[in-house]
Amino acid sequence: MIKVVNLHKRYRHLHVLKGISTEIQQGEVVCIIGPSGSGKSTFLRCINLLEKPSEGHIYIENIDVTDHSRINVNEVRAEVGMVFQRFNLFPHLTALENITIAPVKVRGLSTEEAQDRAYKLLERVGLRHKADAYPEQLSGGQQQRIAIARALAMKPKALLFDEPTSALDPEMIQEVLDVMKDLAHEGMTMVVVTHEMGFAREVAKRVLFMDDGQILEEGTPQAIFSTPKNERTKQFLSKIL
Amino acid sequence: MKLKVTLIFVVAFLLCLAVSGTVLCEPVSEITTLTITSDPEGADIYLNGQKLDQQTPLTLENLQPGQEIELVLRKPPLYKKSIPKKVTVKPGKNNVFIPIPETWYYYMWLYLPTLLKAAGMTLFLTIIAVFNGIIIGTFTGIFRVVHNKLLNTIAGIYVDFTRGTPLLVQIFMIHFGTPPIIGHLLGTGNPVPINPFVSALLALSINSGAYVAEIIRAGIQSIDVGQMEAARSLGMTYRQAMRFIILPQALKRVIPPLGNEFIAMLKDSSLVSVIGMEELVRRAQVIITRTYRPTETWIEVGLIFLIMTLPFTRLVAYLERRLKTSD
Repeated sequence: MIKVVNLHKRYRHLHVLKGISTEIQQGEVVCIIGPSGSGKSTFLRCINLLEKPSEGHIYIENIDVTDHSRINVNEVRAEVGMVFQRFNLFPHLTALENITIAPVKVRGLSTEEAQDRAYKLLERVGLRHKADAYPEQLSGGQQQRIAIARALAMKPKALLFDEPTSALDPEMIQEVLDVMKDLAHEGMTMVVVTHEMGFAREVAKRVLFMDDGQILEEGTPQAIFSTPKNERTKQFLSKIL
Repeated sequence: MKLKVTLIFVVAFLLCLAVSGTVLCEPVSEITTLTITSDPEGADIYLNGQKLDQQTPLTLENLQPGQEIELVLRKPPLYKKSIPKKVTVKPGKNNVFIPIPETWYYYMWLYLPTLLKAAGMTLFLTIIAVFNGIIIGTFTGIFRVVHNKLLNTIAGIYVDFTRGTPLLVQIFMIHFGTPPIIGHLLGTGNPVPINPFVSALLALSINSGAYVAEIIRAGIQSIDVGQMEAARSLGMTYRQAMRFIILPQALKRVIPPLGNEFIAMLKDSSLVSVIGMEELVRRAQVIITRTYRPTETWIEVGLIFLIMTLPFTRLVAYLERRLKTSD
């Protein structure tokens, strides 16, 4: 469903991504792990074109989204949802409005349709009663769940998570992970940059280990966590497990 | 001898006449009066320290000739009390004129309505100029941040030029610099003078626009980049993200600095007095040429400006405090 071929990203003299190639299947949950500065987030942001790839191709459902002559970037982004480390909810809108604004403005849904959809999503993330709350009135975990609902409201083909629990207090991490697990079980295609090894082990179908802008190792959680082959992977895992 | 006798008779007659004259005339000029006039009239009269019920001009009757009176006049609140004047009442009609000196704030009070009216013009000029400035500045501010080199450059030149030159020079450029150009464009070659009000409004609006543009730009750039990314990740176009996500948040943050801009413009608008625009400062200058009271008048003008700016200063401080808590 998402196919990445030889992806490079350079910022002037900084070579962040050095030829990433991988393929993500429909309904697959892929976790990307690796040390800070390894290019995990940049890779994720390239997939929905928040960063413009310097080289290489990204195919989403066999359409080359790096081909700007034929692709409307906004349409691509509408199909690939993104959940951020710092939630990035819109502080001037209520939880409900955060969820409805994109479907109404981008998809052209009526307000009623969008609200129906939003209430169902709020139900799903367990925050139906917080529909009229503003982000500042919500805890970090609640904000992140609203952010997931906001991304889901666009009915995306895939969801990208950029360290979704890194900015959360420890006791709020689980509520967000639970929502993500539910999504995974429902067959959502997910790419998750995370430091939650427990989540990766439990939910991921495949784990990518990235360092220095490259995928050094990939495989099932079992293979990566129990019998890592790459020296760098072993070193990294020994420090965090 | 005969002449001598005649002379004695004549003298005696004249003497008799004089004596009888004074005696006979007495009842005619029997009433001794004292008429008190003053400048200005309508002053309270204190006669030997006692306040009378009536005010100047007043004619007192039933006075005894030779009576000594001390008069003090007062006309509050604009006049000091007059210097005490001692009058010895002579028989018959007496007149006394007493000037009352003005207090130091006499001219301040006298010209207050005129100055307030001029302050109204200052306020009006400022409101219109800042209103225009907000319209010009919102567009210019957005032009400075959008991804369009041409718009960036045009907005940049406008803002740099306006903020980098004195407002006084801008006023001169418009009021004295453009009439020849207009004349040239019309083909007559004769300068077309501009109404001071129009020049003033143009100069202040253009000046305000540049400052507002910077406020708007700073407001937009103060919004976390994550907001734009989140909006774009949901498929919104740059325009939609700006309109529905960035600008609503930025405009809220921009309100206190806009208040400050209004206060600054209220004060800076005094510069248009140099082209004869009849606002507060210009009006004060005209009054001073008439009264020769620069100290009082300028103090008064300062106070009027202070009274106009103070509520806005407080309002801005309040808004800043409220915004801080909601952020």
